[in-house]
Amino acid sequence: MSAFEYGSSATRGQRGYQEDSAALWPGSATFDWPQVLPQPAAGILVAVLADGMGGHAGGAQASQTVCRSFLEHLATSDNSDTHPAPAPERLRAALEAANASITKTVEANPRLDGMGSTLIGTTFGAEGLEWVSVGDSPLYLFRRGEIALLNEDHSLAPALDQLAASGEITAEQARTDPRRHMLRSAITGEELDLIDVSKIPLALEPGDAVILASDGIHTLDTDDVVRIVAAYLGDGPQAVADALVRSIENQKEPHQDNATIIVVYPTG
Amino acid sequence: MAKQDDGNGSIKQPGKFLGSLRDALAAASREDTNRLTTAENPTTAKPELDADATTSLAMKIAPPSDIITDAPETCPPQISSSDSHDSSPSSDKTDDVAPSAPPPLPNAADAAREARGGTPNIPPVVRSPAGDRHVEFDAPPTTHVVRPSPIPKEDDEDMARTQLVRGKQQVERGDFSQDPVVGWLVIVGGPGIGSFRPIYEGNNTVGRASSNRVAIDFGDDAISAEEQAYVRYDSADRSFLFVPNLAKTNVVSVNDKRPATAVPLQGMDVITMGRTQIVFVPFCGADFDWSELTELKG
Repeated sequence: MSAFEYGSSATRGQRGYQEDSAALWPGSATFDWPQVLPQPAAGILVAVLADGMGGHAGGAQASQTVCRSFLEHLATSDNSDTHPAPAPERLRAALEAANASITKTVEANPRLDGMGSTLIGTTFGAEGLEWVSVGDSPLYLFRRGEIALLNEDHSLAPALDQLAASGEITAEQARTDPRRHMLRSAITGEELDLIDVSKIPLALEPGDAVILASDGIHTLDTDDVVRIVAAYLGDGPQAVADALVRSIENQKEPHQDNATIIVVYPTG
Repeated sequence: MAKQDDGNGSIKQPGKFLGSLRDALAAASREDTNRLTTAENPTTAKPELDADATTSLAMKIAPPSDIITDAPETCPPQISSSDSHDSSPSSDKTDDVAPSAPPPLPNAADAAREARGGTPNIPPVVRSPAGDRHVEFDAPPTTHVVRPSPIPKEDDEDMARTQLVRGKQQVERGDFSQDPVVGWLVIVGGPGIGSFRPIYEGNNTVGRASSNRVAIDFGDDAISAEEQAYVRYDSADRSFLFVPNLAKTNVVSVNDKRPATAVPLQGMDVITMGRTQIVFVPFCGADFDWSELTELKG
């Protein structure tokens, strides 16, 4: 039987509002949400993190809406099933439900047109970690002093980096291009352009840390993230999440974006 | 993503790691105070910070077994979990150099690749051969929903607002030397009578200042300088929308009604802003859209 432990932390950065949302099932959410979902099967943890866009009310509402509907869909469709961990199809269905919830919200309030969100949805079960992801919120695996990005980055950053690698633009141009943060895919209530889903469960071992983050974490370079996670690994997932957010805040980036982090440990 | 180079770094890594952590702490003074207050031994002085950090590496150092024996009952759950990190690798091996044993699971990068079904998570960029305006993203590991209708461009302002571009991002503007016109606003009353302004694809800001995409700059100061309203043309469904900016107090009406939200625009609708009357004349619509030409050429 597997068990998981988690911690989460968030900062608004230099923004006047928080457009990120995160929620755990079973567990709590970063936004006001009296969770009335049924308990999942024993040993199952679902973590979801979303980075909204659309300014002020729209962005926050979008990310909360997709987190909520994603979890609700997983929770309600999970009951009828005997599988211990939701399959990729189930994650996909939950993602579609999240997308549909945006469509509905915009229909009910056309002024919210244009709102959208990224989403990382992860399930932790006996077989390990599975995920679905849309957008540019990174999902990392920390293992034995190394970190790897698990999901696909749907921003234009990878494309720009490749153009730089092939010599068509300079590395500096790639780094500062304003299109770097534009998304090729996001949950906007329209058809989803790109969806990243894990093919097989990623088996986890004690000592691993799985990190869900919004792109505000990119203030830290990857080596910093590795150092911080390694240094706080023994203090538990909450300490790791807190340390990452503290480090982001301490960079004193003048335009620091919202940053939200969930850290999950397998505990044996 | 970048990963820490390790290779056979089981011995040199701790030194490297601690060195760089120490540097980072000294340079940024960022974690040391918090670190000490949250450390398990409140008595820890700065030098022991390193030792503590080292134990958190879990596999590098043997002594944790001493600590483990007395820790679990008394510590809060968070800490006992951290001990479980320490204990399981070291209980497998009686020796202290854990990394020398073959790891039970692949390293982070390989594990990521496996879970992705062997595909990379950085989609390769393929420039389409014609050198046209698209950079194609060939992304085998993901579901790529192909959009049926080519959207020649998305409006700059919309992109800034939503930070979303569609699956195919163009890097050039195609064959148009300027934004293609999709309709006109013709001034039929008030200052500027007889003049016209083009409307372009996507979102058009309408206001008195020249910074607006559609500048009604004929001297009617009852029109807001910035973004009195928006006229949008959506090439996907070939429709025009008039969207009042409700943040502005100046009165705007369409056919003598004051819209409180977006309203569809039809040809010859009369928009009134300040003391200016404007007639809307569409060019694109059910009968024509620029995408038809693009498709013919393609």
